[in-house]
Amino acid sequence: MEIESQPYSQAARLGAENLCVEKQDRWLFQNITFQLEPGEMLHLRGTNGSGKTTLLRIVCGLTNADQGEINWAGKSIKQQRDEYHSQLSYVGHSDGIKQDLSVTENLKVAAVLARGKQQTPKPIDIDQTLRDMGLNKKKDTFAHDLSAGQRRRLALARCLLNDTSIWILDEPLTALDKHGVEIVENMISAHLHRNGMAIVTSHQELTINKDRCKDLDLS
Amino acid sequence: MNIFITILKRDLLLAIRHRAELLNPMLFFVLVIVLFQLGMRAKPAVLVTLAPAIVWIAALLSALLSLDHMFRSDMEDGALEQMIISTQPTSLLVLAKILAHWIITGLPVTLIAPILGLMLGLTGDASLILFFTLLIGTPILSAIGSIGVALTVGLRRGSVLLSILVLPLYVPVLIFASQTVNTFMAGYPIFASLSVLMAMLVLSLSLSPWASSAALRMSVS
Repeated sequence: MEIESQPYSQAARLGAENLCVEKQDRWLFQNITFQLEPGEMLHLRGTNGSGKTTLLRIVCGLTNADQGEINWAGKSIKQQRDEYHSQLSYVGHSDGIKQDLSVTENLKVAAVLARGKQQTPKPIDIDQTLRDMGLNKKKDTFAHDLSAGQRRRLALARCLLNDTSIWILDEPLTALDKHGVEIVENMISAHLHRNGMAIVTSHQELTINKDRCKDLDLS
Repeated sequence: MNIFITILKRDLLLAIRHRAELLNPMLFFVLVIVLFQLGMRAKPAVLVTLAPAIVWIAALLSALLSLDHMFRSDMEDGALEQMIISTQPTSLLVLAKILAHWIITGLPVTLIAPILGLMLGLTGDASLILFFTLLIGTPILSAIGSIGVALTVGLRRGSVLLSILVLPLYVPVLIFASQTVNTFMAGYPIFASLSVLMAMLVLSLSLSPWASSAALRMSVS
């Protein structure tokens, strides 16, 4: 598998300070604090309903915490929304894939959203990304004709194509077969190797270098 | 600008591939007017005086019917989250979506309205004026509607609330647009009421993207 190996130029420390979230008059979680250096991954664990997805959405800046904040490169992400988002890829529960667009069309839209003014992705980049994710034969297939696992791979392909240094992945291994799991693990390892950062929720164990992996249990 | 065109193209492509979405508002519009014509055959003179209002009410309701599509499916499949965390200004994305919504629903209605106007007994000139009011007025419906949809898209049963929220804001458009045609038929100059419509268009297109993007951020969180 070929993945670009240059380190990210804008990788910087990502941290959360005393995050508290209240839901229906009780604390969903309290005083969550973590620090993530470039090249490290946070494996988020917890029972169903323990607030993993909520925490990920807070890290993305989609939801606000009741207390506490997320810092990136020494500043709150609220003060640098655009710079932060230009370094962020989020693959959530709902994968953001339009069923009536083809695989390539989906990736193109995602790339323009992420890159904006810089440049639209070259066809060769899209081809390479699809090859890396094992989707090269599905280039022109409509997303509604993909299997659940293939759709998951397509959603994850966004992270590769957009070349961002922070990946927030909510259950990336759902519906993936053995080969798919391997691809994703390799993809995350290579990303960490390039000084990228990842926050991942998963009920499965990930085979990733333990030195680079931090654990956080919400339950 | 790149992003504006990308989102516009994406929404139009999705609409073309989802033909029901494309045909439904137009079909509704035509049916309402045809039914009026059938129901009031006995009194063509009354029909002519009511024609501008009938066409406009049908246009308004057909816009309302299709409004929910503007953000609903993007909300459900997570595309909206991706738009909000993108590096692009959300208001620009919203403006692209408003324009796409107008091309899908407002433009076909506008194009077919003169023919229906003739059918209701309007003169050729009056039909043309009706066409112009729709050309200026239907984008206002999409723009104002986007605020309502953005506010209610996070709710599970938001569509009832949407009508209650948006219809009062549509009323000035309805009044000025149908009045323009009526004034023209009575032989008076229409410059003033057309100008008011134009002002509404400029105001709604420049302000609603900001309001909608703020509302979307709230709905998503």
